[in-house]
Amino acid sequence: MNILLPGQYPRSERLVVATRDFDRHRSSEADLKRIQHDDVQQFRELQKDWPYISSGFFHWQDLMRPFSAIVDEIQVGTLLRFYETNTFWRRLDFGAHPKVHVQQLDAWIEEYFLAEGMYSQADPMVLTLPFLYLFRDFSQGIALELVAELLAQIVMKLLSMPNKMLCFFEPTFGWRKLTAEEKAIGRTFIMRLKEHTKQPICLWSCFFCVEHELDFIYALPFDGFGFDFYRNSLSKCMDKFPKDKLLLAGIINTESSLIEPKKNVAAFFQMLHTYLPETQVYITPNGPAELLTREVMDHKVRNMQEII
Amino acid sequence: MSSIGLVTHEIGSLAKTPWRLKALSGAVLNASDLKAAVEWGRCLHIANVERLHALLAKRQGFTLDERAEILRFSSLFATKLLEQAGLDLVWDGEQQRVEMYEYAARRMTGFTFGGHIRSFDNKYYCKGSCVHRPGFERPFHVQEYRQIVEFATKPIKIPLTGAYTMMDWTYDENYSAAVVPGKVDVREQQRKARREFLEDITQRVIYPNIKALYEQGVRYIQLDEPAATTKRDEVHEFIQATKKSIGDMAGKAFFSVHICFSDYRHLFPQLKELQGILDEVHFEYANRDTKELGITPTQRVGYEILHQFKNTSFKVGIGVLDVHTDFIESPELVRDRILYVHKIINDPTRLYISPDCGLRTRTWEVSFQKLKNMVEGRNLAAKALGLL
Repeated sequence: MNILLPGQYPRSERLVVATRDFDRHRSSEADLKRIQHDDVQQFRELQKDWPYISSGFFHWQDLMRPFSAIVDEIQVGTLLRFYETNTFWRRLDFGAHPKVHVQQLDAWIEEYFLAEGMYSQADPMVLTLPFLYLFRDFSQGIALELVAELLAQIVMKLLSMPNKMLCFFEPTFGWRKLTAEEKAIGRTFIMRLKEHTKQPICLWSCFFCVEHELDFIYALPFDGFGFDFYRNSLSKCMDKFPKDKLLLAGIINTESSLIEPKKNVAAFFQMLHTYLPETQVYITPNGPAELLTREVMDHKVRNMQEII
Repeated sequence: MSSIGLVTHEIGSLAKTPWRLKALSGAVLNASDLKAAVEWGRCLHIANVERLHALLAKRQGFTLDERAEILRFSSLFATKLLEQAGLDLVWDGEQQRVEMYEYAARRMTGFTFGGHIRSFDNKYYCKGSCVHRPGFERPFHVQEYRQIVEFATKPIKIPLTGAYTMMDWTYDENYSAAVVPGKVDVREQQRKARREFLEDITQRVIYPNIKALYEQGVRYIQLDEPAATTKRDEVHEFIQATKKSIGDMAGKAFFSVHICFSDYRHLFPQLKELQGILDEVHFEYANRDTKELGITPTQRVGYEILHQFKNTSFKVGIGVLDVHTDFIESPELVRDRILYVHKIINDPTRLYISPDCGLRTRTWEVSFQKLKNMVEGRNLAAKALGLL
């Protein structure tokens, strides 16, 4: 069994302060970069020898914002509450004819996904993108079909790099009811991507109970499915779980600073063993790691490493 | 208080002045900090501004007594700013607090702090963890009130962060420690833990703090509950916590609740259960409104939810200033927002006029001008309604 840390990882207290100082013109960009570099190095050390490592996206402000640097005619708009949390993302406001700057994709990937060159293209990495419904709900002026088109161009470029796993982050299941049309677009999108690549693409849901959407979710040709097990029952998720897929088990609780007690984790593993072999399981946070402080999240990861 | 209805008040925080921030954080004050202190002192007719200047002239290394005196001046300045702007209800704009959550959490027992969490962009806040059953050693807003009452010439309102928001913004390490992920009843276990946590904060911390304020003579108390609608399934819990927080003081003082940047539709119809307990319900509206003059639904699109208050006894707190922009609302725009709301509610004594939320992210220059225009806009509306 391994741990996987998709999405944004929390900045260290040092980086939080350094970023604030830089924004207020109290320090230089070089000072900030040095501390960002340290954060990436420490995070990489935490993930040593893992099958897929994350760059932590330390200079991202949310999962949507980087798209404003690669798609033209996007304005970074108003704050929207990020589901049922006390954090806010900014809506992306699209113009009439958004297009991906194809010539700039390499540089964009280097900056945003490879931590400005601190990771190489060949490194085994987990990359995270917002899935269609989240993307659409945190945008304005763009149809779901066009979201799929833009994302497909970017995904295909990302997965042209070797040794990558892609996680699509999608809390919308359980947040709102999807229409039949939305479901069809989602299904077509994933089918198209899987025709193009053999690298694993996983769905990472969080925050909500998705038990009522499992038939639809399992019919999508993802290579793995992630669930928030503080919102979902393992037995209900596993009853119809496709036996050849990966499970991203969200049991690192990002809504509590309590380090997961060993007996609680052991009780989960005892239930899990009846359903899937360990080789098909990745332990993940049950939501964005950024909802915790760096110190607590590091502690939780180390604790989980010890347990598994 | 305004005899014509249309009572004006501030909602939460004002920015902290550089001289107060630097003096308390140990940074060195510069000449422009001292100049600003004197200029604002004169603008606000502060009697002993020379004393403040002499105090700040030290520039660094302030003793505990000096820091306390600077804090008192900061409270005095902010209170006078609100009075000079012409508001009917005043306080000191959170000058004695670090901010609305951390100030309270650090004065409760059972809480620890571990670092910063992103709120948005590169803005972070300090989030606490509840590690034991919460309590408190002494009421944590009474001293603040005693300070303000020394110099306020208008009625004072004290805001405090409500039980639901304190619970929702805190990590729980105490009540949910036994929850096993993936168990069949995991959601019920989580829900039960949150209910117990909320009940304890309500009964053991918030109610006694409100009681202490009431016993000190505070008659306007605002519960800040920006988290009230964050979790759609927990509106019932918020309502129950509010009832219990006010308890036997309902009807004996003026209680308001402030909620902002939320989907207010989730609150209805349950919110109506708080009639007779809460006097005023205040939401943010200007942030969602247009800047055009006029009193049509299209021009006043931000105020749509007010129709929910038509057949209630609540006084309606209406945000008429957007706190997230330096745009200065003209008195005419404020007037039209009030007149539009009056068309719906049809009773000026039920309308309470204020900014959307605290003005802490705006400079004092911008806040002062916005508030003065708000009062002038209220007066224009009163004239239009034949109240003046």
